[in-house]
Amino acid sequence: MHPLWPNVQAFHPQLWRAVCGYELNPAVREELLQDVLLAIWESLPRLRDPALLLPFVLRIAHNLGASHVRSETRMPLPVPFDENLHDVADSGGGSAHTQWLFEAMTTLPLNLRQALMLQLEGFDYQEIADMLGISAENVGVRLHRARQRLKALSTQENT
Amino acid sequence: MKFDELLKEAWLAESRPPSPPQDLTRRARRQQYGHRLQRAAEVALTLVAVLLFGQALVSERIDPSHWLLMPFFVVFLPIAWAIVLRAPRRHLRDASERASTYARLRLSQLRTGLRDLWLARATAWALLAYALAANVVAWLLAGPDWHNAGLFLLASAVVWFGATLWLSGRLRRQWLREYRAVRRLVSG
Repeated sequence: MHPLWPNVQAFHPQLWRAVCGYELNPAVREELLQDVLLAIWESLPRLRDPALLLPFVLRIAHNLGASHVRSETRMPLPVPFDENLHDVADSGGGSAHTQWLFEAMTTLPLNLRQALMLQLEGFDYQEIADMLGISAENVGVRLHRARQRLKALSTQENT
Repeated sequence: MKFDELLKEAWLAESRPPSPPQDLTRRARRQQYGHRLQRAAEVALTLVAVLLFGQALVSERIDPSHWLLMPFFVVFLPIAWAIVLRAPRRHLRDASERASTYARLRLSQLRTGLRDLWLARATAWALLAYALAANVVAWLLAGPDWHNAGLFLLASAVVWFGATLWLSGRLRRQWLREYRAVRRLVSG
């Protein structure tokens, strides 16, 4: 076993969220996560700097997610962002807003979605640019467009 | 709360439901065995064909079924091997590349895969046409030995044709879907 493998296990929550951004079906999500973990397992010897483990594993998750992407995008369920309702959890355990976000995310084109997911995970423009192989300016443009689309979707459902 | 903060909060609230632990080593081994089994089946099929026809040629006991099946294998084997040897296989390790590099690599793999599927379909059509033509000739001009050999050839061609079309259709839909998605990623 690679010495960094135990550290990868600590990043399961981040990997799970990345997988959820590409797939809505819970069973298929689990399958995709297993593929991602297998790819990480095989690729770990390629990692030069252990400090970059998180970007490395997320890059794998997003690459495989992009390859996995479904043929059709569904319109998100009509659960708009509302501050008064934000803390109310649904019976499934996750909040209704989380469900809305992931549904809405699947309506975004892949190039916007990847940048947004990485930003929500806490990466800055330069880090996202390095992971996606694009310029930091391009990251800014993509993030702006992604937020605009989600806002428009949310407003549309509010009215 | 601002929209961005709401997004972030909703994003971080997603957690993985409890699931039984998976043995990755076993999964990796199973995948390797699968690849080896596929390759072994291809080698076995080639050896059977070579032995069957080699023996017939050496012993000079070539019956109608040999004559009719020989062109079938002469077309089938080179095409199958060309696809197997040439096809750039997808490696999970490729996913550790930067997104743009991975996307270009995947596009190239998918293009080759789609071309090979087209070749496989074209070959299946050609073999079916050959089997039909051989049967017409055998039933019009030859004796009962040739009739049986012709029917065997036709049955093999129909099975091969159906299997190729089914597999090719399934893979083609899947690969085209991925191709379109990844192409958008490169052009965006």
